[in-house]
Formats: sequence, C-alpha cells, structure tokens
Amino acid sequence: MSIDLTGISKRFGAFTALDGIDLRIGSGELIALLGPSGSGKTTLLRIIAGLEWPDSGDVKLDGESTVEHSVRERQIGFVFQHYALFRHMTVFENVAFGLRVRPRRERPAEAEIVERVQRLLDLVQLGGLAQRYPSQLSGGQRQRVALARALAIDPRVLLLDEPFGALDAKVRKDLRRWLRRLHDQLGTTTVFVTHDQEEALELADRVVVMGQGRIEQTGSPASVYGQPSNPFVYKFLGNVNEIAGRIEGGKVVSPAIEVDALENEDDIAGDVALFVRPHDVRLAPDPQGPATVRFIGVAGPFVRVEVLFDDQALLLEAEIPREDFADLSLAVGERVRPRFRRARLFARQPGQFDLNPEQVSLLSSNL
Amino acid sequence: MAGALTARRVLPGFGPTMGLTLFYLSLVVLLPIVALALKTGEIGLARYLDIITGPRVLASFRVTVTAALLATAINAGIGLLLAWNLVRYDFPGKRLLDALIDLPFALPTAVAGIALTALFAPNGWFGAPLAAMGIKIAYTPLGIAIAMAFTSLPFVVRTVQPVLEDVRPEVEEAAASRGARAWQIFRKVIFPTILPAFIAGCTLAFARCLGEFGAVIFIAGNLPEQTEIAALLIFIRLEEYDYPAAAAIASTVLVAALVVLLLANWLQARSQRHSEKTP
Repeated sequence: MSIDLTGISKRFGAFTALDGIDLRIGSGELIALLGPSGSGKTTLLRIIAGLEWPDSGDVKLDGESTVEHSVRERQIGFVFQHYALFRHMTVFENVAFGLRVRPRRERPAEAEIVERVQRLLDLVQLGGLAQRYPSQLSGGQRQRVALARALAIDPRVLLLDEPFGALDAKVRKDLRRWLRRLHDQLGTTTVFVTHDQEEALELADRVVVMGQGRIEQTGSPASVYGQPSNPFVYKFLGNVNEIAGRIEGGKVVSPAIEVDALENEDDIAGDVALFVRPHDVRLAPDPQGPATVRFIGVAGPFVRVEVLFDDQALLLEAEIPREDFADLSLAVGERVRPRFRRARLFARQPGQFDLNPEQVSLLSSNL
Repeated sequence: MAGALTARRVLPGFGPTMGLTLFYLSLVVLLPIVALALKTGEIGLARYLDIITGPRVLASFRVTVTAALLATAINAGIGLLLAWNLVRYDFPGKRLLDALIDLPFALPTAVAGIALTALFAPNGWFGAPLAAMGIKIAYTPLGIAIAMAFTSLPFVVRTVQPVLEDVRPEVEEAAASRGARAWQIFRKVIFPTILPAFIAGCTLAFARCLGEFGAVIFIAGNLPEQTEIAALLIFIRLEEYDYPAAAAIASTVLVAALVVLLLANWLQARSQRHSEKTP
C-alpha cells in the first residue's frame, strides 16, 4: 500500500502545523517522521490516519484519494504513544475488538476470531497473557498488545505515534529491533513518528526530517546523517560545533584550524558556518596550540573534551575514543591544537555568531 | 489509591484523625440508628411484623419504592446526558448550566415541592395542558417521582462527570480506527469505563429518593394507600405518639437503604476490578 501526500497544509488557529507537505511513501517501506516537538510530525501522521483533516491537500492510499473517508473506513492500524488500550477488556478482547465490531455479515466466526487473535498474540510474544488485563502488564507488553490490536484488522498501513516514547531505554531498544523484524516479516507499509534521532536512524528505511511544519530532508539514514542538506537537519541529527569561518579558494582561511576534508567546498565560499561533529574533532597536545583544555568528561564510550580558543570566541567540543584519549594523556589547562577530520559548510545565518562562549557551549552540547 | 497510602505515611496523625472520625460518626450517624434499633427491639418480632405488613404500610413502601425507581431511571438517563454535554461540548453558558446542576442540593426541598406542585397542578403551567391530554401528575405517584427526580438530579451528573473527563480521546480514536461505529464506541468502550461511577451515582440517587420527604409531601396528595410515602407515614405515626410503629417502619426503610447501598458498593467494586488507571 503506497501513500501519496500532496500539498498538505494544516493550521490550528494562528499556528501553522503543516505547510505544504509533499511526500510519497512506497509500498512496504518503513518510514520515520523525525522532528522536534511542534514540527508537525504527529499532525501529519494523524492526517494520514484520518484522525485529523488537512485544510488543503490530498492523501492518497494506493492512488485512491481518502480525504473523504473517515478513520473507520480507511482500515489503518494506529498505535498511540500511551497505548490507549481498553482497560476494562482482557488482552484477548482488546485484540479481538476490531473483529467484533464489524457488521454481522463481515464478522468472522467466533472460532476464527479466537484463532486469529491467538496467532497475533503469539506474533507479539504475548501468547500466554491473553486473559490478563492491561493494568497487569508492563509498559513494553502493553505496547505490544496495542500493536497486535492494530494488526488485527489486517491494516493497509501501520502508523505509530512515538511508539516507544513512554518506555524506558532498555525496553525501547529491544522493542525497536523487534519492530524492525516484525516489519520485515509482515511487509506492511509502516510510518512511525519520533523525536529520537537514534531511533529513526536505526529503525527506518527512509527518514523524513521535519521542522516547523515543513519537510527539511528525506533520505536513507546514511544520507540524512552523512549529507544533511541544511543546518537544521545537521543540528537535529546529533551534536555539532558551529564555527564562524572564512573560505577562500576551497581552503579555510580562518580560524587557524586544519580541516582534512570539506564536504561541500565547491558550493560555497566567503563567510560561512563550519559544522563539525564532536567525533570529527581531533586534539593534539601542542605548547604552541591556539586553544586550552577546559573540561574532560570520561564517562561513556567517548571521552568528552571541551577546549577554549585563546580569543575566547570559540568553545569546541570533541569526542575522542577512550583508547586514543589514553595515548594523548591530556589534562585540564593543557594547550592543544585541534584538527577537523571533516567539516560541512553552510551559509552564515544572520546573528548566528553573535554569541558569547558560554552560549556557544550550550549550543554545541544541546543540539 | 497510591496517593492515599503515601499521604498516610508522609503526614502524621492517623490516630487522632481516625479517632475523631469514629467518634463523630458514632455521635451523628450510629447513635440515632442504635436508638432506632433499640426502640424497634422493644416491640417484639410479632408486633413488628404486624405493623410493617399492615395494608397502609405496605402500600407506602410500594409507592415509595416504585416512585424512587422511576425517579432514578429518569435521572440515570438525564444525568448521563447532562454529564456528557458538560464534559464533551463547549457552549455559551456552560458554567451557568454547570452551577445550575447543584441547585436542587441548595434549595430547601419544601420550596421545590411547592414550586413543582404549582407547575403540575391541574391549573398549573404544565399541569393544565397535560390535564387536557388526560395525564395527571400532581397528587399521583408520577408527581412523587418527579419531585424525587428533582432533588436527586445532581448525584448521577456529579459522579459520572469526573470519570468521563478522564476518558482519553485517543481511546475513542483507537476504537474508531479499529472500525467501530459511534454507538459501538460508546457502548463497548466509554460506557464500561464510566459504569462504576454510573452505578454509584444511581445508587446515591435511589437512596436519596427513598428518604425524600419535603419535596414529595406537597405534590403527593398523601392519600393513604395511594400516594402516601413511607417517610410521611413515619411522621404521621410520630404525631400520633405511636412510637413503636414509627420505629418499626423507619427501621425497615433503613435496612432496605443499607442493603441497596451495600449491593451497589459490591457491584461497583466488581465492575472496577480492572479499571485502575493505566498510563
């Protein structure tokens, strides 16, 4: 089942939730709608489902316009962030709900309902818990019940709204991999919404990055992470150092930092913003270096080092593999010479670098 | 539930608060009941049975219970509708309507009774056209039921309202996306969720109807064996200084009310078994 979205716009009062969305989702794809809160990703998902109506634009399922169809008629599986299970029903009845509410003529026989529900519960690995109530299950189990309930009506499309948002980190990771396997097994066209870039990059065939009601970039996880098309995408997909720079003849003239590879040197020249991932920053101890180590954080797989340039205008964050850090034997207060393995250039935004070092630090660690 | 347990641990004072609670309940609720039971005990079983099976007493029970059931049925429907409207829709004057619901609690019941009688009397605003259609309300059991329905209106609304507010819209959306029609969503998803509160509201309303006195006596006409309610009969017996009879009738009404309340509590607990809030 393919999904075609053309010119979707939606306003809530003065707030523009969606502003001319065009997106084509191929049959059997697993798509992530990724963006910060307020980017319109959930609204878009709800419009595909028929839980929300666009002010303009069209939603086509397999080429057939569905804007006139209600959620009931679209035969879509929708999974809510907070599960939305029917808490007065057993797990079995929750899953069977979609079959039982069918008109008598289309309703499967009781034996078939039992068989189908049991098969679905086995699929989501809850075969033994059919007679439990939602209140007796863990968060991860509840979300799998919600998924089984969504799958019970043989949905043409499966939509998941922040499906793992309410779960703790460990369960979230397990469930993520499990959902990927399930998708490969069933092949249902699936769209899920998330604000977690790691989740989107790990799970999806294709990632749609959204910001302020628009699609910022669409592509495979490797391409959106590797070739972000604008500063927003770059910043949203991981930590970043933003550095004011000047390019002449394909070389960084200022600041005095060595850059091994400029990813898009041909496109741009003059005053630019250099975007560098912390893991692309290399530090070498050098008594004549232009910067000083200000902070070292050793927890986690990478050692996080903050260095401050002498002119106080730039605070740089570096992530160094633990083994490399051991070889460097850096200490706070030592002088270093930073080097960038790669950097991406963007046109400088007005006001982008009118910041003091503290704010730059906040920017680079939070985004 | 969890909140109450934590509060008990965090805030001191279980001893004094529980002591005060028991003392107050004993003084205000239990003591009169015990006095009533003792008074009833004095008269002996044979005499007791004799009194409460008298035709006038039995008739008053029948009138009271029938009218109370009818009033509760009216309020079950109307109360649910009112709660639904107040929770689901925004409209001008919503807060006024919300405040209006509690009016029967604030109004002296006798005032309500007199007003209703004036309205439904054969020459009243409602009574006249109804009389023309051959329907008589004032001075009939129907009038009793209407008076009872008036004073017990807030119970169903006020118990269902907060629970209905708690029903997440996404639960309904989940049901709709499974293909459920509007009435199926209500019957299979919303109603079971509010059922415990609904039962509680109906029971409270019914119990209140059984005991209603002020509003009813004006509209009832109070014809012995026809439109005379149990509460009035108790009052009449008291005025006649026939204390044993008054005590016998009163204790019977009391036991009936207690049984109804216990039954409702049990029903409510049953339907609530699995309805604890899930995140």
